[in-house]
Amino acid sequence: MTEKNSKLNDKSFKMTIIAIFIPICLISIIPLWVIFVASFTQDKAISDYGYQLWPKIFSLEAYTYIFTTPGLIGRAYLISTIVTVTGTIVGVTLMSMLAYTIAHRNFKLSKGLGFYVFFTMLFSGGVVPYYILVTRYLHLKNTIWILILPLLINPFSVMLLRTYFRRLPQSLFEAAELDGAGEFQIFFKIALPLSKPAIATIGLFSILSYWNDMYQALLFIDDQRLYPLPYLLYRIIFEHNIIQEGAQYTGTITPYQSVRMAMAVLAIVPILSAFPFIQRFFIRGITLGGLKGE
Amino acid sequence: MVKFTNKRRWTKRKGQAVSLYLMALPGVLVITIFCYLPMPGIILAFKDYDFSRGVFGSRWIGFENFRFFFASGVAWRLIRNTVGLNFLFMVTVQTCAVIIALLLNEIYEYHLAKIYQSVLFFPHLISWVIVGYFAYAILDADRGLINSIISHFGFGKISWYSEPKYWPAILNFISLWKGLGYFSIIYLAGMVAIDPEYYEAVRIDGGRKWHEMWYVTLPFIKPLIYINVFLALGRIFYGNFDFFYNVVRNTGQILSTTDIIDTYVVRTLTVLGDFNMAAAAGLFQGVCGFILILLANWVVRKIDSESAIF
Amino acid sequence: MGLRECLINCIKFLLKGVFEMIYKFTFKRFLALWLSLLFTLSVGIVFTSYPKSAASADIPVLKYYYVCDIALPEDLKEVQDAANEILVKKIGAKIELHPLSFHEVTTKIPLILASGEDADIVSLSNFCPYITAFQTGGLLALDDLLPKVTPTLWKKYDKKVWNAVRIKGKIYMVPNNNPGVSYPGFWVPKDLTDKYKFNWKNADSWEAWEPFFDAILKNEKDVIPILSTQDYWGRLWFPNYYGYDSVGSVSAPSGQPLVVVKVNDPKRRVIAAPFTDDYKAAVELARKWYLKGYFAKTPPTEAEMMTMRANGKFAAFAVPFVGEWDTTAMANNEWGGRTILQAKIKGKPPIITTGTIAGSGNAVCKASKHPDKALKFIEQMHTNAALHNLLNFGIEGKHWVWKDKTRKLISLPEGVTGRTARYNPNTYWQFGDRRLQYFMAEGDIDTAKRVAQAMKSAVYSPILGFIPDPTPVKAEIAAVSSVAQEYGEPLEKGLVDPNDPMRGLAVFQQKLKEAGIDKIVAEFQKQVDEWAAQNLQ
Repeated sequence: MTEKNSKLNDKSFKMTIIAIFIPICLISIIPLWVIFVASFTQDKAISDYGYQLWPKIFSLEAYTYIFTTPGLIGRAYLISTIVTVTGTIVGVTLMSMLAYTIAHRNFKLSKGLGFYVFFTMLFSGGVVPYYILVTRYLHLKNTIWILILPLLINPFSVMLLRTYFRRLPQSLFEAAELDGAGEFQIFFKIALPLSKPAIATIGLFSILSYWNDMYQALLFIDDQRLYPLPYLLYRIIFEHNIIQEGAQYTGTITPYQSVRMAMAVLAIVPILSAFPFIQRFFIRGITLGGLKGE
Repeated sequence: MVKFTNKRRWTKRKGQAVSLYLMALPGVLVITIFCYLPMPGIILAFKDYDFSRGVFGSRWIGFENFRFFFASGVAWRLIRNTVGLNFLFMVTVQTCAVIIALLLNEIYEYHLAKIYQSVLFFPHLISWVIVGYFAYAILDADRGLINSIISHFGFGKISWYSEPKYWPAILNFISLWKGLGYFSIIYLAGMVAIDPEYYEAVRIDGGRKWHEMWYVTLPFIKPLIYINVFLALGRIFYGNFDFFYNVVRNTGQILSTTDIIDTYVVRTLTVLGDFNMAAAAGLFQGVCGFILILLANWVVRKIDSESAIF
Repeated sequence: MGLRECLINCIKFLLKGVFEMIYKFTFKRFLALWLSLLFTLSVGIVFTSYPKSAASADIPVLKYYYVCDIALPEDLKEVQDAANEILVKKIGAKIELHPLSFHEVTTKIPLILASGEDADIVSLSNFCPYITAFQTGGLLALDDLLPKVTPTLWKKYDKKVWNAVRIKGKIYMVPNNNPGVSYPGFWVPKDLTDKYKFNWKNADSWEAWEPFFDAILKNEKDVIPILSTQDYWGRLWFPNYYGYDSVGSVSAPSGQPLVVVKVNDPKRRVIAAPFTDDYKAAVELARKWYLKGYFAKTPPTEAEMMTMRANGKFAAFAVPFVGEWDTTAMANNEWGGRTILQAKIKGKPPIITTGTIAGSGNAVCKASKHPDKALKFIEQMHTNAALHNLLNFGIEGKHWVWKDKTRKLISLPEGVTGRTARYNPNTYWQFGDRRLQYFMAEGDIDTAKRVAQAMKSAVYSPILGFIPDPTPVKAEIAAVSSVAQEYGEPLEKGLVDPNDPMRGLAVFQQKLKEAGIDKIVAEFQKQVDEWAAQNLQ
């Protein structure tokens, strides 16, 4: 019967899947593993032997180097976390509400808003006008807000969300409306719970864009106490591409390569640890409920 | 009675609209401030900016700022590379992402699926700077990984960084490697929400896996595919600067196939320090993308008006 | 820190609000959330800002943006206060220090100048060149102010010096006084030249070094004879080796200048370098050396190169600015501590160019509200030894101690290294007149003497003091720069055969012509001739 057929299908299918996925996974994991290993390798060994799958000569020098640079690492982690968490939560809320209005079928402005959002992906005013706006008119230079506000709304995410929302069955909404529900209630009680995977995706993208952002800091932050993590790490490394002509002080040799790797590890690890939490939303079957009653 | 209901309906609709306005307001505010307020600045593309006279008071110099781009003799090549490579990347990544998402969707052991998915996502987390290092470690003519393997088997070493012809393929591979996990998540999120009843229906009709995918899954994520393609088209004139800068590294010999508008503009900016020229290039990229989008939207509307963006 | 706490609490409140909202969605809560958001926003804007110097009503505060090495000076505020003690008395103004890293400077200073932001003084150098800053339109012309407001400074330097920084006839920057000379040559570890008994003092050309490099190739397994990187290094075309001075900086972004003037040419003819025999010779030699294996087959990035260099993977570094200064610091920072020789090519006299005199300086911003005070601050950097050394080294006793007061020798305090120092800008060239500076290394004390000696045989560029205005040929410069990046760079580094029909020298020359190099040469020649007529007899 169909059962037997699908079982057979499953077997050969599974084989195919494994055959495809194993090499892909290897290609995806190995670089990360190599980075991790390199961060614990002695710099000289990287230079001599290249990147290896296991530390040729184990060493903590990269991490020592980073953590003994006059102690701003902790603060940078804090700033990055605050910015990411606040930004993501607020941003996801704003974006989902906005996407909802764009996806709404009975709303006059929906198409207009959609275009309004989308247009920003095509054109931007350029660095100088943006800089002038932020520093002279908004006075947001060197504040924590400039790290959060500009990235709150990601047009790509909004358009994605709108597409997800559109696909939700219209009947649900009509039923709720007849029951006398207000828009907010429809949004929170119906639309959101059904879109958990989408929201999770958007949240993930938001987290990533905040965590890795260096551009806002590069332009607007001079105060070292407000440096987000990637920017601080970037500065620590690039501080040492110095003038070749006589520095005044002598320092010790910077373990360049391994420090860069350690830097990458430090930036990636927090995201990796957040991953399991997001994962829950990508399991098939969880979000169904909908018409069948909750 | 009728009158009464109408009134109720009307206030309700008004109330509804108000709620919607309120929902949209904060988001719109943010976009307006950070994206639309600086936008008039794009007029700098036509001006010689002097801050003491402000954006609008500065001298109008027409298309002078565009000259550096078009008179350079490489304009066509830059456009070809930018658009061509972006198009190649888009097609490759989207196709593979859909396929991978389809496959992931079929895995019933959730834990395994979780693992595959997370792992696929790792490359996206690695910054382009590091990707550049790896590319060098692999492609270095003397000690790179590939050349070591090739010479081990007796073939001659290839100087990868000197041959432009290999680079579209190399770049495509790297772009795929980095973007696969990212985009497949988007598609997977869409597939996860499909009501299993549809699959049941197909199975009852005697269909197999392939039919399930073709008649149920794919149509459901069609809108997602459209939007991804659309957005990619709109940005097709904008190259991924970090990617090219760190992997290609302005290596002279391969510029003929790898130089894109963005890297050219930044190089010029480094040499001349003239922001107006960068604004001009940006304007050009935006306008081209915009026209392309309008065209694409018009085409899509003819085929399947539901899916058109506007 | 109280502000930080306050902010964190606001954010926690916000987060709570958001969570509540999601679970108990009501309109009221929604409004409450947004009101609190607006409130925290305003609080944030008002309070979280850069710590300003306490400015009283009548003492203006000057913002100074400059370059600073190694992380972020912990004791910046203390040094700033100490500086202000001096400045309030001397000029009636205070300074607010804004150090930027080498990388930030390239982007931020032009942006600050172009946008008219509230800043008073900026430091200009290779990392943000004078010409680039000028083109933003954000620098203030100092001609009127100098003799009036700071006559000491004005009279301190020779007219030649002031003329060297005139663009379109006006002075926009006060050059730092860093007496020095540059030669083409190599930086090479002494232990290697000793090991192979190479008499570098007699090497009078690039070719004369070949025996040394051959020895390295043969005997040192893992060592690459000459350092190269993917952008700047690994070439032999240096204008000063072949006797040229550059006119402006028409080049690939990380390349050497291609529009030059021959130093001993009284007619000051502007030439496009790639068309000369000298360039051809340089390119062919680079190719020969590349094929021999003197250069790495694929140049590494800056970062990779630095690790390699520190681990002894390179034997020599070809640079156009071998000097007379002491190499101890550089040796420790970059070469793993080996003694490094300033191996200049014998017989090539140092050329004094505009860059030698006006390589770096401090400028006043057009947007400054107190230009006269700003200029006076600059004057202090050039005349006040206490301020100059305070900015360079920090506070006496805390950041440095006397080693030998009579010889002006100082050192870091006990137990402090370059890395753990709490104030360490590491830029000797930036804060005015170097002759006021104390010495960190023994070798430095004699540097001034050696430089003075070298100056005796120095050659002066015929266009000393001329700064070209690139505006009329901006587009052509951009195009040439791109062509240079694509064809010139690989040629100069020997990566391509000069006779290659597709990418060789002839093709490069052809492409340059197409890009408009002749127009650039003509334009600059016109400017040079005008300048010569006006300024020289």
